[in-house]
This record gives sequence, structure tokens and C-alpha cells, in this order.
Amino acid sequence: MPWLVTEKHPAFVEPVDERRIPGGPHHSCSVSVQLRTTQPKGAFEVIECCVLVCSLCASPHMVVSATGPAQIPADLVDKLERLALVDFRTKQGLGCLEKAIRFADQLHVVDTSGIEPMDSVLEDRALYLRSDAVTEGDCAEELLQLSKNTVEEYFVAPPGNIPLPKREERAAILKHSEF
Amino acid sequence: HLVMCLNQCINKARYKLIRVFKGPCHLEDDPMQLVGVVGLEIHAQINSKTKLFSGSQVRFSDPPNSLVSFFDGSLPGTLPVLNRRCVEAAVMTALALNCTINRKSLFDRKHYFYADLPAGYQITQQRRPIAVDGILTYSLLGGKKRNQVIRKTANITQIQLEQDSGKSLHDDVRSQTLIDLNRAEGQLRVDANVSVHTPGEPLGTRTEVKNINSTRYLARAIDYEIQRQIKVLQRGGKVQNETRAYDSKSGETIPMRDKEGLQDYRFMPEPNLPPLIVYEENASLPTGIDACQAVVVQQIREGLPELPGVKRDRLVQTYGILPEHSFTLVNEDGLVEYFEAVLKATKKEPRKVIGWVTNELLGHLKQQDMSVSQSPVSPPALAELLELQESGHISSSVAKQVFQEMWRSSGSTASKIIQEQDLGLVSDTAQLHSICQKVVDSHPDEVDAIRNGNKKVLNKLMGLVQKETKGRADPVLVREILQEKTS
Repeated sequence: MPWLVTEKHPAFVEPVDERRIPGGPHHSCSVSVQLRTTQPKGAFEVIECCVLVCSLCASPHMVVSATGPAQIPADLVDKLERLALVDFRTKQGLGCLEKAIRFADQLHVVDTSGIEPMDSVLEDRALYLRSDAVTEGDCAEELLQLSKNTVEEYFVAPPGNIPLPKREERAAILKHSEF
Repeated sequence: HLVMCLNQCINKARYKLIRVFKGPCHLEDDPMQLVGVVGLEIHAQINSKTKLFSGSQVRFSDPPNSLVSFFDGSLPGTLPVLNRRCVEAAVMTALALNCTINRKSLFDRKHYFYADLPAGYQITQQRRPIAVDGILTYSLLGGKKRNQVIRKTANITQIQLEQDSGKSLHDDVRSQTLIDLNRAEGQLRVDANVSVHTPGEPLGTRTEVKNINSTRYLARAIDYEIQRQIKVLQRGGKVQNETRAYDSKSGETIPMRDKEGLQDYRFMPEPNLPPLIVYEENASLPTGIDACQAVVVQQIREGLPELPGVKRDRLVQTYGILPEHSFTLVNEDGLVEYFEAVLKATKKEPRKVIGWVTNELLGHLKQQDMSVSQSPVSPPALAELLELQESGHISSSVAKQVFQEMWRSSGSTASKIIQEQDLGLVSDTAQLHSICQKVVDSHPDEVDAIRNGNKKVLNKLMGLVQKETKGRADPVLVREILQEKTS
């Protein structure tokens, strides 16, 4: 077997599913790997992954479940679109989303048990405290120049938050757009 | 439970309070016995010269966007720089509210879209705020005469430092919103979270009530919302988890149109700010650290002023005044100092002085919307007046008259006014005797009544004597003389 398992995720202890994974960029051989499928979380199946190192060229290859595209419910897509204010409901858009999720799944390879999460690379830095003295401001003219629309030194925005049209209405709007 | 968030808005301090109201049920047939549970989120602006994360000035009523830096305008490439004064203010608040201060606290981003939030997120402290688990003990006056001191406590969940948004002016006519990034309005804002449940059972679904613009409306808004939720449940309906706005005109809460279901703020750590460390005492400072880069809790604790509750108790203890008076004294800026200054200059008992301060002085101040520092009657002047009354030179009713006069002609002393207007007590016995005799002679019926045992009629005769003397007769003497003459 040309593949050497160097890091085993705990999920692999009890394999449930078997998949044929096409070889990485260095090899044309295929490999059979037993993967475990975890409980589906919401719309996505969180598949555990591992890194396999080729015994021929010693380069690591990511192995991720190839169970097929995740079924992302329309409601969740709708919610994501509202949160990000980005329309991505096309086949291309959804495919891109799925690839992004798969890419992020690589994080599961690392065994983080017993390790405190790092949420900032600045965690060892001292937070600088500024003294309470006025050092800036008084540049309204400069700032207002950046805005297309101003009224007497105010920035102008549309009224309140314009609620996003409902899903069906948006589909109708997009129907004739190039997207 | 009280949860406090300290919010710095284009620098503000925000306090979130959650308070349990176990109120009686207002509806008669209520087998569910529902009670309201209330959480308050209080946003209080920190008193600092500059903003939380930028060196722009904090000031009111400046031209729009004149106090805005590049960071406040969310221009790319700008970074937040924490204001030390705001950290000190947060620690001070935490100490005053008996919180546990987190030695290490973290900053997060809370994302949502609104025109007055140009960055698309606000920097807050959601995961690990600067202080947690406090308690506020407060007293209120209750009982039938509202003179019983009732002590209550409220738990404080947390205090956090937080940015606030700019100010939006809605122009419905032109269908646009004008944005001023100087600061949001209101030095103190409160949002209420309200739910109802049967005691002993899990908490019900809560709603958030916004747009409450005064403490008076706060109580009304909460009461309305509790009743509304009770009615919904009694009808067999379900309370929606939503945000509602309080409408002061109708006294009702109405759903806010912009909110679509539960908001997902996608909290994430603020990548541009390392953790905030505060040190317990000087001994725990790392070697070589610059003093202006360290916030030391012990130093701040030592600098805390006397807290209101402590002050009130001290006043009651020291001067023997009633608790309700202590409330009045402490609630008015400068009144305690005024009271104590008067006591220094007079031998009169505090319990006799307090009435003058809380009624006469405060009454006049309130009428003209003045502060204690603007009082035309100074503590020594009032003390002089009280001394004159105490020593019998003038009667109590005349004293009040003189006070009015002193107020009107600020600067004029009591003795001067008494002299000018001849308000001194008439103690000339001969004169009093003759006046009393006149009254007795002209009211034979009343004299008979007194002789027959109705002593109260004496007061009428006294009143007549006072009328003759324009209130300047020494009441003690008059009573004596009249009693003698009618015996």
C-alpha cells in the first residue's frame, strides 16, 4: 500500500464507510480509505479527515469524504444571503460554497484536545493603552468628500434598513439578470 | 439578576441589568399565576475626553461629523486604540457594583448592517467582559406613608466596554437618513428584556423592548409588555422572540419592522486588539512596565468616592435624621454639603435643620429649576436665620417669611430684614397683655366655651391675637396670658 497514515483522527478508530479516493497530484494510483461519517450537523455532514503521506514521495495528501455535494437547505442559503448581503443562489455559487466548506474541513485534521484556542495572533502582545487626550477629528470636509451623497455635513443613506425581499421575490428579480 | 454592559460609544459606557420582578398578577382569573421576569440592558456613556477607540473629542452639539476621525469613519487601514480612561471607568463601575473583575478580558466584533455603523460591526466584549457577577443593594421608600426603607438587591451579570454607533436622523419626506458619526444620542439608554413564566418553571420566551426614553416610560413599557405576554399565553398563543419598540403615546409596544427573526451577529474575536489585562495591585505588575500602560485595581479602589448607600447610612447615623431625608439629601447635588455647612454654623439640632433644607431650600430651588450651588441663600445666612428663630427673636411662621424675603433679595441677611420690616417677636408683656385683653373682651362666647372645658377654642383666640400682632407675638407667652385670662 503506497499510502502511509501519519495522523489519525479519532474518528478513524471506528470506520463506518469506505471510499475510493483518487490519488493526489503525484500519483495516479487510487486508494481505499475507511472514513467515518459523523452526525449530520444542520445541513452539512461534517466528515472527519486525515492526512495521508505517500510512502513513495513523502508528500502529504488531504483526504476528505467524497460522499457527494452537501444538501444545503434553501432556508439556510436564504439566511446566509441576508447575513452577507450576497446573492449566491446559482449552481456556481452553491458549488463555490460547498468547496469552501470542504476546504475549511481540513481544520478537523488537527488534534486540538487539551489545547486552549488561540483567537488572536496578538495574544502575547500587551494591549496598548492610549491616554485620554484629543489628537484627531476635525476633518469633516475630507470625510464628506468621500461620500457621493451629502446634505449639510451629514452623510446620506437610504431610509432605515430596507428589508430584503422574500426569497420568491428575489428569485423573480434574479431570473432575468446575468447571474 | 442584573447584567451590566459598559458601552463606549463613539464612546459610551453601557450597563446591562437584568432584574427579576416578582410582581403580583393583575388579572383575576389566572390559574397560570404568571409573573414577569425582566432584564435590563443599560448603556451609559463614559465620562471621558476622547472616544473608546480613537482620539476624537467627546462633546455634545458639535457640527455633524466634526468630531470624527478616520477610524470613526471606518476608513480602511485604520485601527482601534483603546482609551485608558475608559478602562479605569469600567473598573470603577465594577468596584462600585461589587463585581468580580476579569484580570484578562477580550474584545469581539458583533456584525450587523445599519447606515450609522459604517464598519458593519461594533467592537464589544461578548465572550469575556471586563467584569462579571456583581450585586447592587438599593433602598426604596415604601409602606403606606412611603417612609419605610425597603432594601432590595439586584444581581449584575456583567459589565462590558462597547463601541456604539453614530446618530441617524430619519427624513421621511425625502426618504433618506442623515448620518452623523460624532456619537449616538443619550448619555443613558435602557433596553428591557421581558418574559413571563410560572414561578418554578423554566423561563419563558423573551422579547426585547427598545426606544424607552425615560425611567418613567421604562416602568410603563415593562408593565405593558408583561401584561401583553400574559394575555397572549392565556389566549393559548405563543410569545415570539422579537424586538419591540415602546410607543410612549399609546403606552404600547409594537414589533419593530427591521427585525426578521433572530439576529445572527456572527461574533468573532476582534483581531486587532490583544486581550485587556488589568492588575490587582502594584506588586503584581510585570517588571519594567510603564505605569501609564497599567491599570491597577487597588489604586482605583482607593480613589473611589463614598458610595450613595454608604453616605445615606452615615448621615442617618451621624445626625439622627430620618432615612427618607437621607434620600433627599444624597439625591441632590451639593445638598449634603449645604446641610453640613449649616450645621457647622448653628447650635440647632440636625433634626430641626433638616426640614429647612429639604422643604424650604429645596422647594424654592425646584420651583425655579436651580441647583444648590445657585442658591441665593447661603448656608451661613440660613444658619443665622435659624439661630434667630431658635433664640426666640422671631416666630416660626415669621422665619418662613424672612426666608422668602432673603431668597428674593439675595444677599440680604436675616437680621437686616427682621429689623427693616420690624418682624421681631413681640415679647413686651404689657403690650401682649393689652392685646390679649382686647381679644378676650370682644369674644365672650369663646371665653365661656373655654371655661366650660373646650380648651381647643383657645387656639382661635390665639389666632386672633396673632392677627393683631401680624404674627409677631411670642406664641408661648400669648398662650400663657390667654390661659390666665380665661381661667
